[in-house]
Amino acid sequence: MSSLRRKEREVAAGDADADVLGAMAGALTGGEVSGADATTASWRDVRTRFARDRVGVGALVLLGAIVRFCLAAPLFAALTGHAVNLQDYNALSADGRPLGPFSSGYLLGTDSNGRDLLVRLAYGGRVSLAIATTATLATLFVGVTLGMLAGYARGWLDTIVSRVIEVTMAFPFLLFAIALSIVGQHVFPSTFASAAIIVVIITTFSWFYPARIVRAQVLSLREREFIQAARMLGLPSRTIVAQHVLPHVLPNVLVLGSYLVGINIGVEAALSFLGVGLPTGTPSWGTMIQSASSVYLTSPWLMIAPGAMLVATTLATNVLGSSLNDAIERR
Amino acid sequence: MTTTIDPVRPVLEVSDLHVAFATRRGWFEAVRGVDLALAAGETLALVGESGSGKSTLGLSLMGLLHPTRSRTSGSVRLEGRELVGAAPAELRALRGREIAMVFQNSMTALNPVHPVGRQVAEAMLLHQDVTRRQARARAVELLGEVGIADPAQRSRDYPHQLSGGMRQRVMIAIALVNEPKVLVADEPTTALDVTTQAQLLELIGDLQQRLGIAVLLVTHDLGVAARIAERVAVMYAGKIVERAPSEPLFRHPRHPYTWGLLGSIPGGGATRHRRLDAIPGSPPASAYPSGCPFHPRCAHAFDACATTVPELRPAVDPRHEDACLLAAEVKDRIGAERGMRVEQRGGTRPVESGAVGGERA
Repeated sequence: MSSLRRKEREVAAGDADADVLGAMAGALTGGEVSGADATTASWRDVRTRFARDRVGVGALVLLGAIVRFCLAAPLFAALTGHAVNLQDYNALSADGRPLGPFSSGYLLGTDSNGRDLLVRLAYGGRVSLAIATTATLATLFVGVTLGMLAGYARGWLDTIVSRVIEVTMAFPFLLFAIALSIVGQHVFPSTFASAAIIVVIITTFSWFYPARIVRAQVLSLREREFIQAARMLGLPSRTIVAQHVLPHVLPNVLVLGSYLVGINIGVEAALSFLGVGLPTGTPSWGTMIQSASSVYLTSPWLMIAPGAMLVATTLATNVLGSSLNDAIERR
Repeated sequence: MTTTIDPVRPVLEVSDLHVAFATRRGWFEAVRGVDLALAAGETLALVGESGSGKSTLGLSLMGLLHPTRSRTSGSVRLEGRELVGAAPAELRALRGREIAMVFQNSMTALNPVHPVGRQVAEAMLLHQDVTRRQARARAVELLGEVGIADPAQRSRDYPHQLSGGMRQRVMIAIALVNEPKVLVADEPTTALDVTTQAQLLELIGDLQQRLGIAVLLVTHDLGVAARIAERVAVMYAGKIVERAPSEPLFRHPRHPYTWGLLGSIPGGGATRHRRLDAIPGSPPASAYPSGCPFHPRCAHAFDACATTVPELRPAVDPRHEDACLLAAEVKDRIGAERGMRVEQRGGTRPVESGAVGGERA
């Protein structure tokens, strides 16, 4: 859950940004003369510009609220007295149907097994967010590393990476994801293994997005004069890449990472919905939508609640990504 | 700072250096057989228009040209060690330590994401056995030495927070942090205004004398060359066409190309209130003409110029060489007309600097 902790810190920073928004006039007259480099803005400038973007700050606040809601899952369980997997057949209507929203003791109602939807939504969010964040970090790690290697070293290394990218992109993603998932679950039958398989599948089919972006950027960066100046000093390539190239690539990586979290939440949900993701007993937004699909005509809230969370999270990460992009590129 | 280098034996010796680039139509030779020798504490200015091969020469000395898309042959000896064809690791150990470079544009040559003090310290950490703390302290000290006020504060600034002149001082500090034997300065002051330019040239001259560094100053600006160089080599089409100590070169230039360069300096020349004489045409960019490479643009060319390649030869003064087929008397006569008086660093009359050949970077 450390990735969620990290998220939480980001969110805390986001709240500070919201305060900056309030004190915008002060920041503007604070004598901060922004003579930022045309190509690489300083983080401080990015922060200031982002704070002025109401939509972006709103997205960050929304994302922060969602993350906090999920982190607070044990709290909801304790307050309501309903454990996540507590199947209470008294929590069903007289004819055995799930309770609707705003029933006594159940704010969002219950599912077909009499489990508290609110508690499951929070716990399910933890799983969805954890998988999406882990997959994003893995994707970025693999993609950025290979992209930088290919772009900086060029030659045969670049050729290999570029060909592998092309081949991977030619694979029909969903088909292979389903096949890999079924085989994977057969070989490693456990909930944790299922989650790990999803992460591996996502990483396998999305590492080339950061790899291509980073490779292209590094190809042009390496011709810049300050890289030549670094070589003039006799710095070894690994130092040049880590100290002088990487910092220029990170802003774009951050933007892409934000988009990827949203996309990956959707992918996890899609796989779980198709029955090849997490096992149905494990709450995630995807498995919840899947189980709701049999009763959605009579109990639509069972599908609406996790669906809304899914949409809200994806929307927030997409808007956040685009706002970060604007703040970084000063468009 | 004492140096134990034999003043007679040059620290940098370049002989028959050829550098070619891969183009779509095959190899194009940008440097065609250059010989140079540079002694400790000496400044040699390499002057020429854009495209004359002077910057390529500078970069090839550093071994910074593209390994597969360029080809270097001949010999570059740094204190007797051969650099052409040396292993990359060997070159890396020498770069920044024995031979360093100041680039033209400090805005693009400094990394915008790191504070300048860190960039100065980085070169030191790499080549010297010092702790991070010592390197930082030395970086601050050095920033003070290159004339940056409040160096402790400034060392934490990012390049965009400094003025162009200050950034160039930082570049000089980076190049000098390991007290190299040879400094290649590629248009170090071109992007700066005239006053800052003068201050920086002064600074380079002072540091050079104090540390006994040999400086190869690459410039298109004869005014800059006149100010700090003891010797000047004029380059055209990848070759040195005239080479002499500064004083005779400016007083009695012997090559028509040098005449042209001098004629296009505002404020210079024999008469004032005259039109600037730009050299017609531009340097060859794809194929070299036969014979003397300058003959298509030369006002004094005659038939033999199109067929005979002139060699770099001394005239009366053995230190003053030129590669021109004109008769010695003609060169003497026109050279005396075209020559100008220059005063070196410390003189009273400032030498106006000006762009040569039309283009300013």
